Amino acid sequence: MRSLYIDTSSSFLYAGIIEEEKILAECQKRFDHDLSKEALPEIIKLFEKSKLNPQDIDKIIVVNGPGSFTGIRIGITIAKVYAWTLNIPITTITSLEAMAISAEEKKVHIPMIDARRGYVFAGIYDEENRCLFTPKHIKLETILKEVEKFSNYAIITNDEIEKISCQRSYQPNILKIVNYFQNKESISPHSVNPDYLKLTEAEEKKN
Amino acid sequence: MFITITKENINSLPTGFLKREEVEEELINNPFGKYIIYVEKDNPFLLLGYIYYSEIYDRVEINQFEVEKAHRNCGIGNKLLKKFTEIVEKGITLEVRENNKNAIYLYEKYGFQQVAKRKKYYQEIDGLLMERKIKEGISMKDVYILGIESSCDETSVSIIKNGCSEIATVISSQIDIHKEYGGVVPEIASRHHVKNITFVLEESLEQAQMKIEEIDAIAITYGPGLIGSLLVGLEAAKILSYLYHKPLIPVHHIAGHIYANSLVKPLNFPLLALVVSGGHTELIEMRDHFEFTKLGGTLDDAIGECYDKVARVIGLEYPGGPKIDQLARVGKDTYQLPIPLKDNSYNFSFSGLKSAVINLSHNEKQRGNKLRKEDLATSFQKVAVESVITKTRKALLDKNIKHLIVAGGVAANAELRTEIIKMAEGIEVEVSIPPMKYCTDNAAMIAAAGYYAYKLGRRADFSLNSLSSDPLK
Repeated sequence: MRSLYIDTSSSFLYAGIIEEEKILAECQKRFDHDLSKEALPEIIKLFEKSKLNPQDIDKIIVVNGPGSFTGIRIGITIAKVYAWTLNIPITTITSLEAMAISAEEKKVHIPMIDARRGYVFAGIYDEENRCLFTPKHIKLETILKEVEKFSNYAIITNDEIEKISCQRSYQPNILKIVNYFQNKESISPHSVNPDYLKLTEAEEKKN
Repeated sequence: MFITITKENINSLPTGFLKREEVEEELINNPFGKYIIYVEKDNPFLLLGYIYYSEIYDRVEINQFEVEKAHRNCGIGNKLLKKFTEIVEKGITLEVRENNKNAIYLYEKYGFQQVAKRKKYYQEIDGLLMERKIKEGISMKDVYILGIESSCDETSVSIIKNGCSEIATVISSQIDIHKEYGGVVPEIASRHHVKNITFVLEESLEQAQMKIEEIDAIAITYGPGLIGSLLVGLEAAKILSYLYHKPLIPVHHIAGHIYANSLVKPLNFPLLALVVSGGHTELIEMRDHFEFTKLGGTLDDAIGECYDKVARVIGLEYPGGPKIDQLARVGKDTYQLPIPLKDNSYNFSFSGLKSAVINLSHNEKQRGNKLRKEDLATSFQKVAVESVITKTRKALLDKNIKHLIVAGGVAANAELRTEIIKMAEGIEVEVSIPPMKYCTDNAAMIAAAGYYAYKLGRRADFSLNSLSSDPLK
């Protein structure tokens, strides 16, 4: 069983090819605005490094958000077109799940992504990675209040969010993420789409 | 006896009615050029006949075919053409004077067929385009380009054969979604592109009854346009290009609009392209494929943008441009509006005209006069179209260009079409305006442009990025 993992939901590209329990190749690089330029060449390097063809992949696991809207679309487009045209099983996971699962400590995990203007995308996961608080676009103060309910917790962030104490910076463990979701049910590539957790400003104003 | 002469063995050209210097010059200037010559075995140093041809990748064109005067009607032409069609394993085309019955008879004998007539190709005489297909039913190798376009609010995929025949085109338009916001909302457009992309790809392949394996190259709009929208098409094109080892052809959106015309008839150079759309108003001179010289453009608003803004002022729903065109047909030209930028340049300006309409509408309101929408539409359209016509006419005359093509969404405007045709007729310029369906954004035009870019060897690698603005190239 070989899996390809793609996460472009931040200014980083996190991608890897996993075979059984082994990581064959991975990429964890910051690209900022060059992500659209670099994502595919870097993914191609993974195939070269692991001496595999794109046809050899048995499953694609792609992050569908939340995070940078443009960023998410890059990874999702590559993954869904790839899965659609070669008929490869595909499944989506959230960036927040990936953050919680990667954490080392046995604690309640609160992954958070900056959503600007005092808002974050956040969720809460217990020691067994069960979701206690569904991921939301939420005011930072509100989620911090929610967090107070727990005693032993860690906040994981991607970009530094000011005003938060005891935060850990996200270090993805691609092997762990892929193993965790390897058996997650596949969906039709057509329905692999970003889950932004937030309407566009134009839609918000209209409502 | 036959000898093939190329740049390398030009010294083996026998003496005769063909001058060595001429042959040398031809072969230096034409990298595809070759000669096949005929000599008698017992006099191998005297040239009796030749075919000068160009082998351009997968096709062959006969440029000249001549037999020495004193040796005509001895079967030399026959032998040459027989040999030629045997050694060339490609589709062959040629042009011949319509009144040259002997030559046409000979060509037909060796499997050439008349495929088109070229009016006045040889001064006063029409030319015939003849083609010899490789085998029965198979023409020169067909080239299929899959084009993808997502620069604004239309997700489109198209498959075009040989740059001119449409095999399939699918356009998923978001116009009804953006209508509610009075214009295209970039983030909403991007979100829909990503949702649509695989559906549109799938439908186009189904329509064409083709697999991606059968496609020769993938053409993609890399810019200019909305960056988030462009990215979706771009990433899709890049991954497909990688997975199927198909060349990736970068296409400028405006080049696409211009090449929409080649879906109707081949481009005739030199030509002037008038590009009129929501984002562009430009006059571009073309001396050959993908050789663009911008003569002028708008200094502020694009004509389509101006139409949409004026439409909003007089209370028409987005997109207002086509609605103004409709209203203008029933109105009378009663409002005084200034003609923009009456100067000697090839530039345009529409912001002054837009402001004039806004002011006029305010003033009428203040005076308590009811705005006669249809009359304002008529007056506005008259001035806008006149400004475009004047500059276009000037460019055609100054540059002595006899072919005009119109491109872009505003080319769908009925009054503009009528006035352009009238103007062009007046100065004996041949004009080509693509049908409505190719005027607005679509991938057929991207695939058509992609075909010529492919032939020119243009390729992009997987680090191709999308650009919100980029000069036409």
